[in-house]
Amino acid sequence: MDSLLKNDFTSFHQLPISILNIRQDTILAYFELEDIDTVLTLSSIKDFGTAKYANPNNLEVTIIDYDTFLTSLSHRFKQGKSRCDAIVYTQNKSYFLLNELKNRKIVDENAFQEVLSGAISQMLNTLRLIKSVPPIDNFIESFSKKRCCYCNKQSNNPSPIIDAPNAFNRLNNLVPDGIEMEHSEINALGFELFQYTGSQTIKLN
Amino acid sequence: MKESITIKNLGPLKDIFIEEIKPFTVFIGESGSGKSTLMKVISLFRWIYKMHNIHSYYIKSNVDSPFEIDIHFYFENCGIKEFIKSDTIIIYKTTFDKEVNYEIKFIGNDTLFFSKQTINASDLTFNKISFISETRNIIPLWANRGATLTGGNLGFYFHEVFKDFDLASDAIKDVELKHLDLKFSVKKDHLGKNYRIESKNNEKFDIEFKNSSSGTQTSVPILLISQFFANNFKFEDAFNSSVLKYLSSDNRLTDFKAVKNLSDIKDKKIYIHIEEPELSLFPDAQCKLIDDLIKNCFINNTNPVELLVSTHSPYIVNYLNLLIKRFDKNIEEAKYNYDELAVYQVAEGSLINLMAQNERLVNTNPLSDTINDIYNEYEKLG
Repeated sequence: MDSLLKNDFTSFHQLPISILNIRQDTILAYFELEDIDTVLTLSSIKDFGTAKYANPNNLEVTIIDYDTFLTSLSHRFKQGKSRCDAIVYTQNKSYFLLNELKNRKIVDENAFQEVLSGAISQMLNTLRLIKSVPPIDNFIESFSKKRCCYCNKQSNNPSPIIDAPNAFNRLNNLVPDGIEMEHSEINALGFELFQYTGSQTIKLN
Repeated sequence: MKESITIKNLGPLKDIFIEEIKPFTVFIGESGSGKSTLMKVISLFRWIYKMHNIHSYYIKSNVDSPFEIDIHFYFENCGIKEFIKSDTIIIYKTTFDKEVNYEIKFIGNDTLFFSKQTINASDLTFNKISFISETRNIIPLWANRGATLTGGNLGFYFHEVFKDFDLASDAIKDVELKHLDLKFSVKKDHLGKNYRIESKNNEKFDIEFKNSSSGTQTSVPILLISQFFANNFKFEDAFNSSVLKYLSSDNRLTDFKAVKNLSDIKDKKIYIHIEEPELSLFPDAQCKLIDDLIKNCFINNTNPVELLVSTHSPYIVNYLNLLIKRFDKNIEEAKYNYDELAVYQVAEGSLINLMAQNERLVNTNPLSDTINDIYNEYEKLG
């Protein structure tokens, strides 16, 4: 996918070929992703990141820093193009995921704004843009499960006697595998839409 | 009968489509997101459809019936006239058996367009539409003798809710306010109706409705009106009032050959729209109020009711998950079927469906964001 983006995507849009390193690979059974100072960072430390992945079969997983890739393109091209943070897929072609991370501790300028619709639109716009390139569309279509995953971090309780964050987020304990949402446009592109908050984990079974 | 609504470019609403309005539909969203506008448009077009049904009933019954609706007058009444632009589109559609459908369209600042001149006799419906607006908190003052005599105009939606409150309080004398441990009662004397709030616990009191707490004043109309329409409202009386009164004028009764009796009209429905049921209530009372509203509309009702609610309350939206769970476990309390429920977030001009697709749950996370924001900010301060 990194080659498809750096070569086919740029060529399709008549942009210079990119030479950025935007790819990370892992076979870790559990890992998390975090956006640290706009760098997509992978870690096996629990509760380090916003997006939590379980990979019990140690599948070969590739992670593309899509935000960094798009940000590196010409100002004229990237202007007005909202994008998600990461593209995550398994080499055995079982999972292809778009991932939007919303860690409000870092991106606090967005705090108090409506974020769910923004995140959905970032992933939808990414999908439309990358699927418009035929070789990328063919690559995506070869996967059996395709998902847009919006991940949101839960805040910590400020003290043992104040349990509001836990109380307000208890719903998420009932659905450990994330909440699937209907979205006609995302669904029409062959993708499912999931929201993950707190300990809810994306499972690559 | 299935209802759908499409709205494009109407004030804050850019692109709205609900394929099927569920019997219990909830809208959440920030202030100014367009929740109320959406609810007002749906209730207005339900009313226009009702008028179209009555008109069709006359025509099918051999009675001449001029049918003209000045939609711009009603947009003005609903407070949405300023939102109408040349690219505004509103389409309300009803579908019967997936084949027959009727559309009412408003496109581009023009007049209304009806896909069929009349509704087939077999598809005739008779509905009642009630809109319990957030201005209901003025009811106790307005109901006070003398206030109504001033002839003031407090807006279309206030007078609509007041009319329904007045009608309901003619039929119902007492309403238990379990969410507040109080009782609302209607006492009649030679001067008219006197609304009272009585305590049910040991601290006995009996005060005028207008002197009760703000939460009492905003929740009484919800329970009184919903109980009335769900149980006491007589479709026959309303039918006689709106249909037969017209026939008796100008001797139209002589030509009248009823295409159907009211009892033969199978689809009779009460549509109740409520703005912010949580107004002025403590979280626990909000949940208990929803319990009684659900019981009124869907459990103890004799008339079929559909409910449309707008809310900012995370408690009410989370409480829906308990109602669903009770339904699934068949608990003998207020409960509601996931399959008959829809919850939408109105955001950036369109709708996000918050019904989880992989569990029988409502995704309440958009209403938990703020608490996470608060404590993230708290943590940042060290």
